[in-house]
Amino acid sequence: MKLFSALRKYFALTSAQRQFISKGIWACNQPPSTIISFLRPLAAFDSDLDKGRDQLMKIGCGGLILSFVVAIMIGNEVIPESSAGIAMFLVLTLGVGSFIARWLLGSMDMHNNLRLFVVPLLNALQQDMAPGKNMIFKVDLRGKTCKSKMISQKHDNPGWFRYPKLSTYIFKDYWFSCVAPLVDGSTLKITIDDSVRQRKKTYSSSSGKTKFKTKIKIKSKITASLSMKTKIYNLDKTGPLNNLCDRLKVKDKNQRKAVGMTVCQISTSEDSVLEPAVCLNLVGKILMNAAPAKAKGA
Amino acid sequence: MENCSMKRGFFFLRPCDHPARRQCTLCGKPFCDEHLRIRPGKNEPACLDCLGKELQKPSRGSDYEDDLFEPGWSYGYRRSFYSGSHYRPWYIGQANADTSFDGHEVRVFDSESADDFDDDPNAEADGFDS
Ligand SMILES: [Zn+2]
Ligand SMILES: [Zn+2]
Repeated sequence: MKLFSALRKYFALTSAQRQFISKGIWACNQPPSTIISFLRPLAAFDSDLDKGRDQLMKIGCGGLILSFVVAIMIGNEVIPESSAGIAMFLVLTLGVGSFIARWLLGSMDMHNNLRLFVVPLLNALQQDMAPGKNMIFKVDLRGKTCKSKMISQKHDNPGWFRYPKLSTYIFKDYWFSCVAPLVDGSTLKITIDDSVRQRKKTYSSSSGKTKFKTKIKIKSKITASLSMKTKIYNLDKTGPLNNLCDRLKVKDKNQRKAVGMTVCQISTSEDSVLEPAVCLNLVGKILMNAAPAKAKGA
Repeated sequence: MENCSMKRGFFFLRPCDHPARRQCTLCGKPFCDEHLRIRPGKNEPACLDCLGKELQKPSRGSDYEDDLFEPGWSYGYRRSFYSGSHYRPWYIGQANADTSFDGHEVRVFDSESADDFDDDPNAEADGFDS
């Protein structure tokens, strides 16, 4: 049972890790190995918790089906009256208890972006970080529609008992950023900003019933920038990168050239997960485009 | 004792300079402690490259999600990344004519460029917008 494995992993976490689960936000300036050591047990816990909650869902459904079966058996006097009460109590406890446990454990569930995006991405970036250098890291998994992220709201209300009523909420979720000095002297910066539009509609159906509908649209802006030394790289020809992203930004500064590529992704669920390959591909394209500043043998 | 046979890195490959401790029971090459793990289910050491390759097998099925946070994941994933995104990794270190990585073509820095990697007194001036 994955639930017990999840609980074992939870009790093995440090208080700082448990605090991250409850707060959902964490920032630091530490060596990448320290950051990954902090996040990896959380990823393993979250994976087991997700599987455990799925199992509880199945057990809950099984318990409810079983209680119908038991009720029929009591009706047909297959189960004697003396044990009917206890049998019904047991199957109902199993069914309802599983749903309650599943719901309670929901508060410990972290967004799957942590284990399916953040940890594997850091795992890959760590390989190329300059030895002994820190990574500046921030992750915010408090949710895309938490109050503090709301930037505007609009309500169209035609009045009492008049429909449709429409509320639109706009949120900005800057949920991931990291700055990492790399082994070639470049500095890599990755940021992800989500613009979220949530629409809540109350309307009257053709049968006269009042219905509610919530729709969400998330536009994720994923940016990878590399500030590279012009002494090492020839970055004169960045034009072709324009066709490989939604926005290209090139900036000269202090014997360096910063090349930033942005791609946008749209999703319609708060639970959708980003793939680490999206960021790694952007970094790969910038590096593929760079030529050595000193031609070989020159 | 010879050095570890691992090529570190994802975008930039370079040799691991730690002394090798034991041999990988899968590829037979010697590796340092950092690049060896005990194979799950077997009491034998295997290198992160070999473990990573096992993690990338399609037969992993639903376990694949759990592999994403395993230390060996990026070692296996880098190969599919190079072929999937046509990325040619930079190679930092002594290169000979046939320097390649498991059949993946690499781009080699000359030694003069490599000297310039960490000679930046104002490393903080990274050129990003604040
Ligand atoms: Zn091996
Ligand atoms: Zn090694």
